[in-house]
Amino acid sequence: MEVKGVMHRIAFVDLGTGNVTYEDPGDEVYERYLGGYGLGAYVLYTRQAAGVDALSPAAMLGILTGPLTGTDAITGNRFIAVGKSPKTGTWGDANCGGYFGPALKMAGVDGVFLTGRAEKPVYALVEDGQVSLHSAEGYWGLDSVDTEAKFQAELGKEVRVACIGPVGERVSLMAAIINDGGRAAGRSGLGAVMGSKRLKAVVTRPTGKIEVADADALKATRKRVLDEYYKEGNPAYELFSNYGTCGITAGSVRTGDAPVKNWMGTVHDFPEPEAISDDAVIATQARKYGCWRCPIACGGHVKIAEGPYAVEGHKPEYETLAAFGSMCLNSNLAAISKANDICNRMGMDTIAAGTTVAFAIECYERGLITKEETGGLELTWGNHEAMVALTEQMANGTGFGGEVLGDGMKAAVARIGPEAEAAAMQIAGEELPMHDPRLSPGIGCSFVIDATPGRHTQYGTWLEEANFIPPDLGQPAFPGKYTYTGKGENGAYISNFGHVVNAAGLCMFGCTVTPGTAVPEFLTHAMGRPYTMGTVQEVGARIAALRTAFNLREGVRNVEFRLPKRVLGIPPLEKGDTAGITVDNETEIRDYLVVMGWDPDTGVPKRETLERLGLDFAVADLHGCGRG
Amino acid sequence: MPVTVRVPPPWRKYLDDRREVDVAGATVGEVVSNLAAEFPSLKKRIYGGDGRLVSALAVFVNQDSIGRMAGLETPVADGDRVTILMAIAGG
Repeated sequence: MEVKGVMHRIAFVDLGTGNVTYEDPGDEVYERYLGGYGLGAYVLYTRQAAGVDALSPAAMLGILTGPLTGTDAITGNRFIAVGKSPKTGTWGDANCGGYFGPALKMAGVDGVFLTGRAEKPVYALVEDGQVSLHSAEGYWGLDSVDTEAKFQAELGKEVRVACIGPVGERVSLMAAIINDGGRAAGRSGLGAVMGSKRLKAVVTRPTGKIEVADADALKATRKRVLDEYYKEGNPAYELFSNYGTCGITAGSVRTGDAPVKNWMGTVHDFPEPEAISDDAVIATQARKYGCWRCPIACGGHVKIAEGPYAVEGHKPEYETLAAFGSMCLNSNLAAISKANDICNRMGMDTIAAGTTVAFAIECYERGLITKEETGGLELTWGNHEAMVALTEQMANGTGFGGEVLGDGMKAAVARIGPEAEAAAMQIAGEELPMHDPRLSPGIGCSFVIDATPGRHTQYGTWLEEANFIPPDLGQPAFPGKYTYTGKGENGAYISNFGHVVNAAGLCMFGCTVTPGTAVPEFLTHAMGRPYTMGTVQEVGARIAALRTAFNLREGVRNVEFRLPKRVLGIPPLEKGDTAGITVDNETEIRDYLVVMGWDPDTGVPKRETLERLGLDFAVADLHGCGRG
Repeated sequence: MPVTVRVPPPWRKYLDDRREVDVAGATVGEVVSNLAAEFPSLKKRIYGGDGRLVSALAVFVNQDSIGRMAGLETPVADGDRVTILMAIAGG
C-alpha cells in the first residue's frame, strides 16, 4: 500500500515563465521526511544551489502541509513556509494554523514550491490538484484582511488565502505571510521572499478529500487524546482552551520568562503585568477562535469599540503582548491590540516589530537617536502613543520607523551606528522571541543551534524547564535546569520529537498538552506505516541534521552565533526570580551536539551520523568526497 | 491576618468567579492551606500526591518568589498579595 495521508503531489511553479510541473515525491521521501519543513528541507537541499540570494528569482519558497494536516489527528491544521531566510542567511521557516493548511491539501497538493519572479504581481490558485497563475494587480496594495475578503468575494467564500500585505510587497525583512484574516507565519522574513517574487497570495479551493490508512484507528486515537484533555483539572488544557497564550503573560513576567524593558528589567520594573494578561485580554474578546477542528481553540477575536485604539481583529498572542508590552514597559492593552492589528493587517511579524520598538526606545533613552531624528516621536519607556505611531511607520515604510527600523534590528544597527549594537537583542539578524534563557537555559541552546536562529517554536530541553513538556513523552532524565552538563540526551530527544510534530503538520503548542505517544499513533494510522517513538526519534534527527546541513552548505555555522550577553545574564539581573543567574550556554550546546552525533566544535553532523540517517547526499558537501 | 491571594486564570471557576480572595495566615504555607480548606476543589490543584505544592505552581509574595525567600515558611503581613501562578512558559 502506498503511503496515505498525503496527496502524492507537489507543484513546482516558475513565476518568471509561468511554467508549472508536478511530482510525486514517492513513498520513501514521505516516510523519511514526512512533510512540512522535513519535506521542505529535502526539496530545497536537493534542488536549490548553495549561495543563492534569498531574495533573488533563483530562491525557492515552499508552502507545505504535513501528512497529518487536514486529518483527524488533533491539531493537524498547520502549514509551513520554507526558504532561505533573507534575515539570517540560514534555513528559514514559519508555521501557522487556521484553515489555510487543510485547505491547501484538500485542493490536491501537499505543497507548492515557487521560484522566479513575476513581471507583474500574481497570485497562485490551487484547485483540483492544479496550480494556475493570475494577475494580482487588483490586490496589490491591499492589507491582508482586505485581500482575503476580496478573494472570497470574487472566487467564492470557500477559498482560503495565504498572502502578503504591503510590508511584504515592499520586501521588508520583517514581512510575514498572513492567512485567515490575520494569522501570521511570521518568522524568518519569508514574507519578504514572497514579495520579492511579486507573489501576492496563494489561494486554495478545498474541494478534495484526504485519504488516510485507517480512519477508525485514527479516530480512536483522537478520542483517547480528547479524554485526556477533558479530564477534570488538566491545568494546561484548562488554561489554553479558556485563555490561549494570553493566559500566561502575567505569570511569565513574574517568573522571568517574559523579558522586560528590552531584557534589562524584571517584574519590579513592570509591577502590574496583569493589565496586559489573561482576564484583561479576555475582557476585550468578542468571540473565540479555533483553528481547523482544534478542540483547544486557543485563539480569539477582540473588539475595542472606542478610544484612540479602537480595533477589531485577532487576539494578541503572548509573544505580541510581551513584545509590545513588558519589553516596552507599556501596560496599555488597547495600544498592544492596535499594534497587533497593524502588524497582522499590513503583514509584519509582531515579534520583530515589538522588539524593534523596544530596541528603538532604549536607543532613544541612551541618546543614540534624537527626537529630531524620530520626527518628533518621544520614544520613552511606556509611551504607547509613540509605540503605536512607530509601528504604523514601520508598517507603512514611512518616517523614522520605515526608513531606519523597517528591516528589523540588525539593519537598524547598521543605520544608527555601532553603539546601537548593545541594545539589539537579536541573533544572526533574527529578533529574539519572548522566552528568557535566564529562566529556561535550554531555550538559549535552541536560539543558537536550531537551523532557524532565535526560534522559540522549537522543542528542546527548555520545555522541561518551563513545565511545558508533553505528557507521556518518555524523555530521558532531566538533571535540573541550572545543571549544564548531562542535558544533551534530554534535549536531543525532545527536540527530535518536536521536528516530527512540525513536519507532520501538527501544532507544536497543542502537542505540549497532548500525550507524546499519540504522535506516532497518528502517523501510523494516517500514513499506514508503523511509526514508534523510536522511529519518531530517527525521523526527527534526520530532519534536524538536514536543516543544519542546509546552513553549513551556505557557509553558516550556528555554533559561531552568539546571544547578546544581556540575554545570558552577563551581568546578571539584580532583582526578580532570575536574579543572579548567568547561563552557561556553550556547555549546554556542546552536550547537545555530542548526543546528536555532530561535531561539538563545528556543529557539523559527522559523516557516520549522516550515513546512519540516510543523508548520504549531504556527505560530500559537509565532508568532501574522500573519507575522513 | 488576611492577605489577598490571586489565583491562576483557570481557577476562577472554583472561586465563585473571582480571581482574588482574602485569606488568613501568618506564612505562605498557612495561607495556601487555608485557601485549599475554604475552596476544596483547589486542594488537588495545589498539592500533589506527596502533599507538596504541585511543581508547576509558583508562588510570589508581592513581586518576589517564595523560592528566593523561605518557601512556604515565608512570613506574610497584612496587605501583602500572594500570587499563585502556573509557571508554564510557551505561547
